[in-house]
Amino acid sequence: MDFKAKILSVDDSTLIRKIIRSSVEVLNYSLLEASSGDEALTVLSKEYESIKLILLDWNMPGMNGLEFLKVIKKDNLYKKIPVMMVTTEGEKGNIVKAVQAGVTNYLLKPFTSEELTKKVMQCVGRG
Amino acid sequence: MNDMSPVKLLNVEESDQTFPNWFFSNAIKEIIFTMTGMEVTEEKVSSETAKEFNEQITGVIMLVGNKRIMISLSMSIYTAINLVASMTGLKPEGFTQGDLVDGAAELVNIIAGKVKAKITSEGDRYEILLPFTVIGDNHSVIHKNKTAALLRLYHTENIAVIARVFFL
Repeated sequence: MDFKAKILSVDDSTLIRKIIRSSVEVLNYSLLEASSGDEALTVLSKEYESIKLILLDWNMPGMNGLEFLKVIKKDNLYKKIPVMMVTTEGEKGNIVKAVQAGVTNYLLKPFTSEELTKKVMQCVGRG
Repeated sequence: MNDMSPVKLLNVEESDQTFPNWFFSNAIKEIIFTMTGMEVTEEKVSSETAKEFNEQITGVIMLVGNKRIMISLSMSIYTAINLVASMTGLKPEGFTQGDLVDGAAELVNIIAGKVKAKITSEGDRYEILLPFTVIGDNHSVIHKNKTAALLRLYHTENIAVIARVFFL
């Protein structure tokens, strides 16, 4: 069994999930992956107790990142899990919407592994 | 380094053109550098010269707002492998075609994000559509009646990428 604390990456890009995986594993977390909001909800339903952070893309097919964020922040089981947007969406108005919807932190693509690691640690209280 | 002076554009609707070429080329160079650590050299190329490159994978994305902007990045499989290896820090032996396709799409997606942030900071409103990828030997990105407003080669020893920007 895997008893490591987990981080969930929700991004339709397998490449971005691979980049995130290499940074997260350095921090001794294991990475759960979902390529859409719907898939992420399925993962959450099984793993929410061990998930310490959700890394969330904005532009995805189906439910977008903001819609997913609003869904989980209404759910008593999931709403305490911190969420960091990891996205190309840098428009000020949209960042404000994400913050109002309950996002904990925000990382714009492109990012370096150092930037990702630092922000992840801030979100999980190790920074 | 960065040419900040607006360059006259080749677009057939150049009188309507708002965005100078450095606007796009800076975004492309910056994203490639941040994602891969590679500092690329930029060269102007003609449509004819561009045909000499083996374009096997092309990432395409659209920004839709006051104008419709299409950005494409075309490359060989060799370049795509080197780009994805640099972006992920992984050895290329295990890469699938899906990884390369995804790499090309994600690069244009991030470039579009950078462009959108710049445009919207100046008051315009744009949406980014989901990127897609075209694969196949020696294909070209051509619009039936538009010339690319930007056509550039970005290269290092290990990569060569043809970038095109169209205003549709």
